[in-house]
Amino acid sequence: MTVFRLYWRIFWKNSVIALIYFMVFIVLGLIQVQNYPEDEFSFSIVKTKIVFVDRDNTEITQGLKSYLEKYAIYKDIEEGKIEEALFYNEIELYVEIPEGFTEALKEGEILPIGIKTGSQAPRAHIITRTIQKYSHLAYVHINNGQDSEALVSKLRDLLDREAVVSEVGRAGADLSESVYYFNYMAYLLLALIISVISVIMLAFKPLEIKRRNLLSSISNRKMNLILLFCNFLLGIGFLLALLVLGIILYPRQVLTGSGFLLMLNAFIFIFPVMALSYLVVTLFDSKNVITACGVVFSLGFSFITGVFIPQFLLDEKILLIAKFIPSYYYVANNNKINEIANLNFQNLRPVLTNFLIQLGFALLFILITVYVAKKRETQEN
Amino acid sequence: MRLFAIRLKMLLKSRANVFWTFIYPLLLGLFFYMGFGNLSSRSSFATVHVSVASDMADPVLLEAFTSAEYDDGKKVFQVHAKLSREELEAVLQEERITGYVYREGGEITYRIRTNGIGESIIKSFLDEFIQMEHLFQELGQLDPDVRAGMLADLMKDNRYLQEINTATNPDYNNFVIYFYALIAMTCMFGSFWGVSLVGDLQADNSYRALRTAIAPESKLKLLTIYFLAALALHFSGNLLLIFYLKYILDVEFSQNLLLIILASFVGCVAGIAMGTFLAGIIRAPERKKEGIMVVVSLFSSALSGLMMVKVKYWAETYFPPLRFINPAGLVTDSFFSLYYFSDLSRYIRDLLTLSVLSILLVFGTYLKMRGEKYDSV
Repeated sequence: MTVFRLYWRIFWKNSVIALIYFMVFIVLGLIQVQNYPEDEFSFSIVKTKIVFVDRDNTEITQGLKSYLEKYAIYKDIEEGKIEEALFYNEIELYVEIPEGFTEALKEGEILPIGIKTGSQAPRAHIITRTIQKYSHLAYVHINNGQDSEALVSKLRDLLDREAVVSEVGRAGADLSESVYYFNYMAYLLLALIISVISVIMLAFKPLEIKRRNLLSSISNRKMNLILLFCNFLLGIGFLLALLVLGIILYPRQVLTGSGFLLMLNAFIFIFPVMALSYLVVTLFDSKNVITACGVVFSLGFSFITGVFIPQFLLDEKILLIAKFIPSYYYVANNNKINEIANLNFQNLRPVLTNFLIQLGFALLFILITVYVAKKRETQEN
Repeated sequence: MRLFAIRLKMLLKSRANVFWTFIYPLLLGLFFYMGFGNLSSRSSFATVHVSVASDMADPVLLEAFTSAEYDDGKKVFQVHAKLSREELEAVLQEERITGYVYREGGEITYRIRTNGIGESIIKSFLDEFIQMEHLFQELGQLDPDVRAGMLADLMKDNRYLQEINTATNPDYNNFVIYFYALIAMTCMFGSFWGVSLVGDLQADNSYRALRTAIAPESKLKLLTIYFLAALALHFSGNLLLIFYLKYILDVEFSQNLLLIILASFVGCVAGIAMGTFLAGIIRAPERKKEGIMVVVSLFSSALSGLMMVKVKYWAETYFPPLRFINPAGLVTDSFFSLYYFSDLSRYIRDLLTLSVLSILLVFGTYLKMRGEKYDSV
C-alpha cells in the first residue's frame, strides 16, 4: 500500500501537465461537435460561402441574390478584408454586381459581374454557373421584349424546376465525426502516457533510491508489480476519461456496435504506448529528455501516421515509415471500423489483425526494455 | 566583449533551452512537412463521375453530360452508362457508387446516398437541364418572331462574369501559415532566454545573480550585454530554421529574403523582451517562470495559426486588438503579408507594431530591475 500511495502522490505533483492536455482536448472536441451530423441522411446542395455586393440594386439583381440563397451562404465582410477572407477560406467567392448592370442588359449590352475566387474552385463553380445561367436568361427575356414587371417571378418559376432526388437509407452508423475524435485521441494518449508515466517512474530510478528500496521489506519483484499495476490503472484512467468525453460528445455514434469496436481499439492501443513509455524511462535519466521525447514522439507519430492528417492524403513514402509505428495500425483500424457496414468475422478480420500488430509492438517494446534494464542492472551492481 | 563571449558560452550550456529553441522547431518543421508539405489548400476542378441507367437514359441528357466543359476545356463529367437501373441500384447498395441518374417519363431522378461537392455539381447540372427543357417548351407557344429572336439569343455564348485582378499572390497555399506560425513560435521561445537573463540578474534568484549584483558593473550594461548575447544565439537559431524550411523543405516564402530575415530578427527581439518582462514582474522560481513562458508562447502561437490556420483569422477578426498585442500573430502576419500581398504597407505596419511592443517590454523590464535593493537575500 505504501508504494501504491507514493505512486499517486507523485502523480498528483505532475498532474498539471495532464490537466492542460485534457483542457486543450476538450476545447478541440467541442469545436468538432458543432458539426455533428443528423441521424438520418438527407440530400442537400453543398453551400458556398460568398460575399455578394450589389451596386446595381434592381429587381433583377435582388432576384439573383434571392435565388442564390439555394446555393450560397452570405457573409458580411468589410471590403478591405476580402482578400484575407479568401486566403483563410472564410469565404470561397466574392461577387460584385456593377452599377448599371440591368440598364446595360436592357440596351443589349453586358456589363460583367466582377468575381474573385478563393482556393475552392469547384465550390465556386456551382455559384458562377448559376449566376451565368440567371444573367443569360434575364438577358434573353429583356432583349426580346419580355421585360414585364413579372420577369423576376417568371425567372424564379422557371429556375425552381428541379430534378427529383431519391435518397438511399444508410446501412450502418456513420462514425466519421467520432472517428476523427478517436484518431485525435492517439495524440493525447501518447503525449499523456509517455510524459506522465515516464516522469513518475523516473522518481524511482536514481541509484540511491533503488538501493534504499532493496533494503525495504517489500521485495523488488512485488514493488515492480505494484508499479506496473498503478501504471496500468493510470493508463486506463486516462482512457476512461477520454471515452466518457467521447460518449458525451457523440452518444449516437459511440454507443453502437461499431463504437464499441472503436473503444476496444483504443484500449488495445494503450498497451504499446505504455510499453513505449517504459522503454523511454529505461533509456533516459533526465526529466528534460523524457519530456522532449514525449513531445517529439506524440507529435511526430501523430503527423506521420494519420492522426492529424487523414492517411489517404499522406505520401506513400511517409506511410511506409509509418508502418513501423503502432499508431498507424490504431488509426487504420478506426478508419476500417467506420467503413464496415456489417459486423461479421469476415469483415472484422483486418481489424483483428491490426489488434494483434499493436499487441506485437507492445511485446517488442517490453523485450527491448527488459534487455536494456538487465544490462543497466548489471552495470549498477 | 569578454562579458558577451562568457555569456554566450553560458547560454550554450543550457541544454534544455538549446533543445526547445534550436532542435524542437526543426523537428516540428519536419513533422509539418511530412504531414502536409506536399498538400495544397487549393482544390482544382476535378472530373465528376456520373452513372446513368442504360435502360432509362435520355440521349439528349447523355449528350449534355458528355459535352459539358469547365472554362479551361476540361470535361466536367465522366459518364458511365453501361449498367441498367437494376444493376446500378445493386452497386449503389453495395456502396460502390454514390448515386445514379435515370429518366422515367418526363421526370429525371437522381438516386443518391451521400452529400458532396460532386453530387452537388451533378444535381445543379440536372436542374439546369430540366429548366432549359421547360424553357424550350414554353418558347414553342410564343409568336414565331419572338421565338426566333429568343432562340438566337439563347444560343449566344455571352460571358457575364469577369475575374477581378488584385495585387495578391494568385497561386497561394494557405498551409504555409503553419510554417510561418512555427517560426513565430520559435521567436516566442526566445522568452526562455529572457527568463534565464532575469534569473542571472535578480539577486534573489540565484547565487550567480547574487554575485553579479555586487559586481561593479552597471545593471543597464549587464542587461544590454546579456540581452544581446541571447539575441545573437536565438536569432542564429531562427535563421537556421528559416533556411531549413526554405531551402531544404522547400516551403514557399516571399522572394525578398532580406525582409524575411528582418521580420525574424524583430520577432526574436520581441520573444526575448517578452521573457525578460514577464520574468521580471513574476515572483516565482525559475522553473515555474519557464512553465509560464511555455503556456504564454504556445497560446500566443496557437492564436497565430500554429494548430489550425483559421484560428488566426477568427481570433483577429472577433478580437481586433490581437492584431496589435499578440507578438506571435504579428510575426506570422508579417511573413503572410510578404507572401500574399505585393504591397508592403501591411508588412511595415506589422513590423513597426512589433518593434514598439518590444521597446515597451524592454523598457518595462529596465524600470522593474533598475536600482533594485534587497534587505536580505
